[in-house]
Amino acid sequence: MWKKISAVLTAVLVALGFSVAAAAPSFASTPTTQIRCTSYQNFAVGGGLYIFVPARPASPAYLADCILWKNTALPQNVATTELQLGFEWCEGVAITVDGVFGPMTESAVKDLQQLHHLTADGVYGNDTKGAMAFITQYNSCRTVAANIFS
Amino acid sequence: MRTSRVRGAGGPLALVVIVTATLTACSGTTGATVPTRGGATAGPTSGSLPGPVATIASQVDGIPTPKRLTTLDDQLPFTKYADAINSIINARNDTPEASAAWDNQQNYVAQCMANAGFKYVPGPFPVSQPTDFYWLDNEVPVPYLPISRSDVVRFGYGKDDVEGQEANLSAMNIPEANMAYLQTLSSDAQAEWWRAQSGTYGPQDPSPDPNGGCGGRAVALYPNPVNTAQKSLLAEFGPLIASMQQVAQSAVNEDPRMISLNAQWTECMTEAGFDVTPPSMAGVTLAPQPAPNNGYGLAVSTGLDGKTHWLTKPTPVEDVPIDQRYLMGTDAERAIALGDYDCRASTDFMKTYTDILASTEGDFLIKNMSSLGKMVSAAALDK
Repeated sequence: MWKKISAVLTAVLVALGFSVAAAAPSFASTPTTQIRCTSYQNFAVGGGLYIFVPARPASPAYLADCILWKNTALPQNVATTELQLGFEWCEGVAITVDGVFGPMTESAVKDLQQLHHLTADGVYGNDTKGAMAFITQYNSCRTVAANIFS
Repeated sequence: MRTSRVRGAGGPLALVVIVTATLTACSGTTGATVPTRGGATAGPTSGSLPGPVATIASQVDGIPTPKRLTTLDDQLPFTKYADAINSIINARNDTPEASAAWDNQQNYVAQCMANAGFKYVPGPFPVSQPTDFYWLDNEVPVPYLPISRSDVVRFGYGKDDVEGQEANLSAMNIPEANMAYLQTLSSDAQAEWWRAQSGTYGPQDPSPDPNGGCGGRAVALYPNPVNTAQKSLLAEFGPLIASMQQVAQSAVNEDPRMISLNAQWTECMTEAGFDVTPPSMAGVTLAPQPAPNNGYGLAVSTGLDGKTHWLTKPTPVEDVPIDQRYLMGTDAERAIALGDYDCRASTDFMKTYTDILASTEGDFLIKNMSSLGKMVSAAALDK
């Protein structure tokens, strides 16, 4: 009975736009909000400037609700590069910009999360996105609320 | 002609930009190569990630392409630390040991993934992208205007190479081979791929078991050598460098003298009939910047119809019409640039701004002389 109620409640929450974290994560039930960022989306923020925000793959559409986490065995990823550039240029973090989410990037994410009183898990996601400033094509910075992208 | 290494040009790309300075020098300033992310000519790239496909022309229809930075003739105080800072933050990571470890890892992952029934394309060694802070290159974030008023009448801020910029933007966002391959799989197969690559908990696990999956085992088998020297220098002097960046990029714009100067320039433009203040955009925080950027922004936002089309919210760029994304070289844009030119002249903007910047940087140097000296010595020893 509880399972049924839970399933209904989950469905309602999802329908209302809430993401539901699985208690025991497994790949088979990976929620769509947990897709790894593999590209970036350019968001125009006025004055001919646009910011580069880590995003899902281009197809079927760029969406900025995605995550990045430490994985040093993956090749360079443009989404990670954008995250690193944001840290380097906008958050004042001396970081290696190589497109690989390694310990230095994880540490930068954790520090930012702690600074903004977020859960310091080192995973870049929606909350972290809303807290950090992103770089424009001319190397200036903009902070954009996370909900702007959804 | 000026050659400059560009940081961040095109996301993962490290490019050499070659821009022919076609505009004549401005009062106390010269036209700068713009370290843009979108604009650049083809050049060497890091790793084997895709490079730009188009060369950004220095002129379009006989009109110079615009520049968002202006190079100063007089040296700013921070520039004397450029060598030390660059050697610390741009230490090469492509040592033979690091490259060999990477190749071993990638080959292991490819074989391991093949055993699990998946394709995995070994990636190139991730060479780090060099950083080129404009504030170490004696450049300021003020849109370039020619020295001669008659040139401003003719060219305004310039005209964008729309075709080249668009082509480069498309080329920059090509996903890495394995991520592209993943998109061809069903969602279940993608989940299995991730499980094989990074272990049971995969992307949902914030700190996966280092031995988890093919990737974790590869890193455990072939550990990455650590550049302890650079790590130590970054740990010791990173905060100092970040403070310098904060002074040059942000603090100067919050100086009361700068706020007053920006207000004078804005008032001048308003009196000239240009409403340069963009409407506030919900959810977007703008870092303070030299006010002439608003003139440039107004020009960009002015469409071929001569009207201003301010954005009211962050918008995917593909949804913004081309003529409201780029300088098209219209009469209306040139009129704004001319207004900017006259207002910079009447407020003595560039000289006042650079004086404020120089004094702000100078104050920082006085307060941090000892730390800066240590940084220079440490950087020299590390060479």
